[in-house]
Amino acid sequence: MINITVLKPIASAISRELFHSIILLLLLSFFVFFLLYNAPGEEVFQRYLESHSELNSTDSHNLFYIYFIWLSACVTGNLGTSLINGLPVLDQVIENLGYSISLILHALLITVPFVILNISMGFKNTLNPISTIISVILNILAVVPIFWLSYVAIYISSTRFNYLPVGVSPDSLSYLEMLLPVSLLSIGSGVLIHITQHTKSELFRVLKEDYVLYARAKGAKVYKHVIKEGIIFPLLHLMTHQVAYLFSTCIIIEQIFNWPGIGRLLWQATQDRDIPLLLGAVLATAFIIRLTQFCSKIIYIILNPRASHE
Amino acid sequence: MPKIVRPQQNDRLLSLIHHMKDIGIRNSFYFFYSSIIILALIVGYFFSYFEYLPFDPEDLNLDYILSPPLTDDHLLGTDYLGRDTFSRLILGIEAYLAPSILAVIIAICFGTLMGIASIFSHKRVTRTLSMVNDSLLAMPKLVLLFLIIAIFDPTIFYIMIVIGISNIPSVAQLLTAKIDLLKERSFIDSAIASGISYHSIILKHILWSNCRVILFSQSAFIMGEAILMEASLSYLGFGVQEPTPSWGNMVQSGSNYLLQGDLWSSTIPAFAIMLVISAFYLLSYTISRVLEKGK
Repeated sequence: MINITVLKPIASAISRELFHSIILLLLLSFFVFFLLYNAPGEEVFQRYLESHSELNSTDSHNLFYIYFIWLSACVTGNLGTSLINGLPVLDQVIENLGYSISLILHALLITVPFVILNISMGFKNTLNPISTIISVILNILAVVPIFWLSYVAIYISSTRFNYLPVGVSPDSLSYLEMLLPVSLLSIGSGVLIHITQHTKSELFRVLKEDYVLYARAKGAKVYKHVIKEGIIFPLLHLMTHQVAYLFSTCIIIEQIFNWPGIGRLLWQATQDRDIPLLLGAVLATAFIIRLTQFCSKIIYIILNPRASHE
Repeated sequence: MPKIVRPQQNDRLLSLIHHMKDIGIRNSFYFFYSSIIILALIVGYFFSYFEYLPFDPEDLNLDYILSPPLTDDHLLGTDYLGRDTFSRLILGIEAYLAPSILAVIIAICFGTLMGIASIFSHKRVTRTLSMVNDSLLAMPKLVLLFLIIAIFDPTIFYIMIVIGISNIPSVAQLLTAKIDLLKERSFIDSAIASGISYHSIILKHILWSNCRVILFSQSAFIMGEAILMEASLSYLGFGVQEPTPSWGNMVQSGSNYLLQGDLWSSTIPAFAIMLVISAFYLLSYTISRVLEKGK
């Protein structure tokens, strides 16, 4: 029997979050469209209107009128066709987005064993020399420009040790091929060291709380009381906040490894001034980032129903 | 003779050398490291401004293609066209230093305004501002820059304005969280009771005496990020274009030869980027640690 009184605030919080996300995406799409509308020299916007199947018949130059038609086309999935190859934008974006998401997801998941390792090292001795050395090295690698780091990694792994494939074939992705880009994305962007250090400091803050002391005093197992607030929530929070940053870094990594993801699509579209494709890719990226934030918020509310009251 | 009681010095950054013991060996090392690098950066900027360089940075010399450091007069070697790396490195400072200061000023000024406005105004304004913040945060910075570049084809100054705008939400969120805690404290109430105007309470009591740590450390952080962003854009081919040197496009042109084993021409600008960015990040870290400790 499900208790309705527990579910009701959760449902209202979820609907509030959904409303918030929709307003946010509307604001963002208007912002993007407003930028395009104000493009210098008229012809950029004009060419975009002519390429779009639902906008080329409008005579009006009213911004809000055109935006409304464009938005309704976007919602139904018509993002226009590419200026260069004439293919529909949505298909290209969805095809490329999958590769980027797998890259980013693995880069985030690779931090979990490091977090566990770091915490287990910290419990025994706060000033562990091995973990200090590792964190110094990772901190330095996070500041090194990622484009140089990737080239050096490719150079060392392929020409010296001759064991990792450099080119990636999109049809058959193996974990061996993903190892180098994923680990570089995780280490070189500094996400790995950021997440491990902040989770550890958060856990140690929670361990000093009064309720943990009480749990210790009555002889309960501490990790049961700590694992939710000390590890899962900070991990969830930190990971979702890094997704936008990882999309930025992804562009460089995909450029170097010829990875057929959204970053390469964005780069190619910018190079060609292919506005419809670029606009579709930008909106898809923003949508994915907002979706991850929405999902993490919902997971947080379900795990911690107190947060639904706000 | 009566003992003179000195007022406690709040501004520890100025008297840093005398307070080595208070600050700790690690923080003072970070501070000296970052100040040396930043000083070298400023000196290099003036050298390039007055064109006082050892070689002409665009002068081709085919006898010295891809030579390692310390060959003859070339201190840091040459690139794939035989141009002197050291001169190009110094001239490359011009590409980002002044523009990224612009980015910092925009991010700090508007971030402060937004942070104050979202605390001290009507609830609806607060909600709208947080919406705008969230929508800016949902856009990756490099993706936003790509959009601006494709539509407007801007110069480096406009790119830096966009980088500044994209950093506004982080400053505003930090300030909002801090001021939210501060406005409950009793010293604000007593300041209002003693008849001090709201302007000076906000500027003096809140911003200067309690939030300047955040503002200083954030400005150093944004500076580092703007430099990294410029290098990434130049690497990807959208920033400074080829004959004019920038550290990003120096790494890019050198990396074509890296897989053949000629490491130096891309490693040296990459290390320069690393040194400068780590200097700014460590400065930001030290400021927040040292000044916060004084409270």
